[in-house]
Amino acid sequence: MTIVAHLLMALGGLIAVLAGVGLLRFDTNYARFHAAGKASPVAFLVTALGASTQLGWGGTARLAIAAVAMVLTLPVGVHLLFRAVHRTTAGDHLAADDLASAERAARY
Amino acid sequence: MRRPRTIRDLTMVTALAATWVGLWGSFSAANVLGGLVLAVLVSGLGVGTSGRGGIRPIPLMRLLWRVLLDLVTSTLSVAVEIATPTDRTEEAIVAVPLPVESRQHFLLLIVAITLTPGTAVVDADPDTGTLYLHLLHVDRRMAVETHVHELARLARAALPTDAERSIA
Repeated sequence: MTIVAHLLMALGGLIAVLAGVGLLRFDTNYARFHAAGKASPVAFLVTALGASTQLGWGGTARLAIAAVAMVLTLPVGVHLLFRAVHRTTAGDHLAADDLASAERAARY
Repeated sequence: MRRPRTIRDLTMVTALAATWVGLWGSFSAANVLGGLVLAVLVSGLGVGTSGRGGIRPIPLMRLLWRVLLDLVTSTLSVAVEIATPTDRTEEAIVAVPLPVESRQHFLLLIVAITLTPGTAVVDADPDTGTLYLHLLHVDRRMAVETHVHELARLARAALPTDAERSIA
């Protein structure tokens, strides 16, 4: 059981590191949000799963509540970041932008 | 006057009390009692939004399981994208129209879609029922659209609205 816990916690750490590398490697704002903003709940879930096998009932309950709160609230923040970037920067690198054309159409 | 929904209220009280006990971190009589008293008070006073419609537990588990699977597969694909030296990302923002009856579950869908790496909701138009999704790989557009409709179908099955329940 200890080995499983260690492996899971190491895996969670690895996901977080990969997200950090993604922040440096991707060159657009959107892609960076994909790497950093959304790998973090996964990294947290995996790490918490590993930790919960060692923490007993009380610790597991707290981790579960933290996980639910994070999973429910983080997408809202990420969505706002996406929208803020879309409103303030030109999306020249996008292969298609249905939102920009819909907004242009709504203006006329 | 709200309609009495015994099972629904009981579930609510149990969930609230369980959260309270979990936050204290120990399963003692005082915690359980305190949690129950608070839960009855909170739900009795009508704090928070009154939810409409019901919850079907088994379809809800199916939806959660699906989101969990998505989380794993899409994290893997983004991890591979980061770890391999070639950059195959081709970003796009695409419009995905939703069926009318899915709009009850707009928020649930937005959370589920944004949670998985590789797709994110940039904007949502509740009037036309359109989601504007940002994709990391535009060549997966068709797969993503099918996937969003699948999620919408699961959400409708898990959380039926009052109207749908009276039909069923």
